Amino acid sequence: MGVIEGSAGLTGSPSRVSPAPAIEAHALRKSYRDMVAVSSVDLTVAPGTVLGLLGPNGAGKTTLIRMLCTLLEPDSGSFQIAGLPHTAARRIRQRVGVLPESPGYPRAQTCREWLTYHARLYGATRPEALATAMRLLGEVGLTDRAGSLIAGLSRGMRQRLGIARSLVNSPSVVFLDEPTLGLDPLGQQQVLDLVTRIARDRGATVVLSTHVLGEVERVCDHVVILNRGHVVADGTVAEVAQRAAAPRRAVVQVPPHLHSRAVDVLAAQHLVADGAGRTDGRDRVELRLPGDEPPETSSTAALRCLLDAGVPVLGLSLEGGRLSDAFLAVTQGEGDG
Amino acid sequence: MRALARIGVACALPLALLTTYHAEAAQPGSAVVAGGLVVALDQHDLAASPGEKITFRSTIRNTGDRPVDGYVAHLNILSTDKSVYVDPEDWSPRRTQFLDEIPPGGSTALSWDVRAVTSGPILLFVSVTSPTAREVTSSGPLNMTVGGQRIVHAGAVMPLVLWVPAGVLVLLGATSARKRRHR
Amino acid sequence: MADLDALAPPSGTPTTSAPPTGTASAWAVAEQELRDLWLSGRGAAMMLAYTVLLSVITYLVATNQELNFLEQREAVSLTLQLAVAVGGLLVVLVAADAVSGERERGTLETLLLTPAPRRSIIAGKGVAAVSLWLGAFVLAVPYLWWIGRDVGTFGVAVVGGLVVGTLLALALTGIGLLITTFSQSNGLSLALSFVVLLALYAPHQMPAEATRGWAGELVQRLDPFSAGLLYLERLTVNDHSLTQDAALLVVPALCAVVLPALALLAGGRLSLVPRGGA
Repeated sequence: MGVIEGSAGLTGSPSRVSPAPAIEAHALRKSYRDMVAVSSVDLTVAPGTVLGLLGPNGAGKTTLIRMLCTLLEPDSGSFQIAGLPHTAARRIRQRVGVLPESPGYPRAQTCREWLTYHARLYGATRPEALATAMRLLGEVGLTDRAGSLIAGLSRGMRQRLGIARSLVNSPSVVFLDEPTLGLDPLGQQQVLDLVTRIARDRGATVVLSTHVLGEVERVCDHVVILNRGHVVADGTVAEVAQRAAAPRRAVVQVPPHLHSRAVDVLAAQHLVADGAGRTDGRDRVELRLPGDEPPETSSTAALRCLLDAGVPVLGLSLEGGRLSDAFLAVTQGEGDG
Repeated sequence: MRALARIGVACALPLALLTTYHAEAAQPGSAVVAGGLVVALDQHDLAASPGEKITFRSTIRNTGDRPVDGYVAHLNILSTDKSVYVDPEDWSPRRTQFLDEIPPGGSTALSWDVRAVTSGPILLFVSVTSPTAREVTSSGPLNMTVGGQRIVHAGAVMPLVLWVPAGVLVLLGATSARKRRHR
Repeated sequence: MADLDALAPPSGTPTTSAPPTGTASAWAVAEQELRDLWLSGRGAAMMLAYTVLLSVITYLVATNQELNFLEQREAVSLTLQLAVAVGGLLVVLVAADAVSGERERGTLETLLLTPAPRRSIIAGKGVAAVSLWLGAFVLAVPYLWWIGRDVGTFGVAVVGGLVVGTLLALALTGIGLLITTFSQSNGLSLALSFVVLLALYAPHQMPAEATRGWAGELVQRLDPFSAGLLYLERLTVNDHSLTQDAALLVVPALCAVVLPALALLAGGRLSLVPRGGA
């Protein structure tokens, strides 16, 4: 059972912070014919949290999100969204916003028309819906494309439009399934900025499903790792990284004029981290420590090699396990689900 | 004396028959059939327009001394102009009527409904016969002149067949222009 | 740096409000579907093909220089039957694309994520489908007027055509929506709907001898399409009154009510993946 408790939102009016968990799920299960997509998942997410949902392909992330936003009925288990039981599906959909993994867009509608339409489906009158559409287009930087057909937008623009649509009802919980998929670095940056602002300025709870670990490290307060339908890790980014993987990296500081010799010595012991070549820093060498012995042992051995080679060591620091290490550790050996 | 009486009857009988025949023949639209049935129509000439419904009556009288039964009356419709095509079924769907027994000296009246379908000179008459009769006897003709038929010219329809699709094409163009404007 | 106020929802924006009513949702969906159908040009393109067909038929009728009275009435009947048949075809094709098409285009998911009741979504899409029949009927009126004005059939043809065509359009919309809700693919939905339409139209094309027996008559009366077209024929060609053959409209009327109702009921089970469908 994985339980996450996060801190409340940093901003937003106090009236928007509900004392009840934003998301609370118990023993959720969903299977498709013979394949179990989600198996007995428990989850509790505090309001205002940005939760990273990680997992390899087929881990059950999208299925879990679809159950929580009432698109799929769980085979068993229960959940609450913003205090609403899963049986109140329409009321839950009124309170959540979702950017699906592969959303389709109508080709013959303009951005403004589409957002206005969806705002009306959430109960807004026509003038309210139009005002909401224009405001959201401004927030996502698409004001000048308000009258353009969606078919003419780039992928990045469509993702931003999709995020805008997920906000038409000012949701208290937002699910973003792979929002940066297929985007260039600038596009990814823009989307992640949006995600941060959604959580910070609206006080909304955000569930970000992604493959990009760097995104999770950058914007998420908490992370849940799914594998083959199970929660295999949960907690803050640091907790998960620490718990799931011992530190495997170290940085050695040496005199700059001996940097090349230090790299040669450590490379002969297969201790140099991948990609850490002779030009990496003038006085630092990054080490990759083997996982089959304690990090202190392998770092001591590295120091001895350097000293024997006449390279004085000016400093040594062990780096915490990265999220990528944790991800690989908890999913390694089980293959893609 | 008896001889004179015989001569008198012999002369009177054909005279009576001849008189009767001519008397019947003098009435337009009637004839005499063996068995004594006479068919007469209540109209002889009329004019109609295409689509107009008309109704006329035929009277079948039993001039014989015995009742007649099992007779059938049928309405015939034709055109005397060979360029005019007439399908009787189009003009009147009910053209056969079965007669009840007619006592001697009695008569029966039948009503016939006809709708004028095409213009031209049309002739209608009623025939009467039975499975055991050796003859078919008909009434005189009802001459119907149907006029005022619409002649359609292909040129007159051109505005319609062109403008309606053209109007829709303009609408289609407007939607394409809207799409281009919003691109 | 983002303006902190910009992202805060303004007052009046629904945040904790109740989900919209079914009627409001249905109207919103209907309005958008009508815009998508007609403003995108799809509806106009279908109407263009339809009016070209009507124009060709009317021109052929007109080149038959002397039309007798009955032939003119038969021409009116033909035009009406064409309007009903083509209008029905367009209705069923749009209805059959309503859900399965959105599923394949990937737009159904965002629609189902809204609090709009599923039945309201189905109802709104049904309205858009029926609009194609209304468009076809309106465009048929000038042709009916031109052909039928001299034989006294224009008025009854318009009234009878509107009644029969609307009943059949509603029935076909129900059929199309039922099929599309459960179809695994859009192609299957369109094909099935087309086959059903042909099956309904076929009895009307039977030779006269086949319809004389009790079985033939029964089929003609139980098939809403045949019954409706037979009603129109008797109205325009045989000069029957509007109420004289009202019994023929019982089955079309029943289908116009029952089939859309079934589609709405089934719409309550609308889901991202069709459940137990064709």
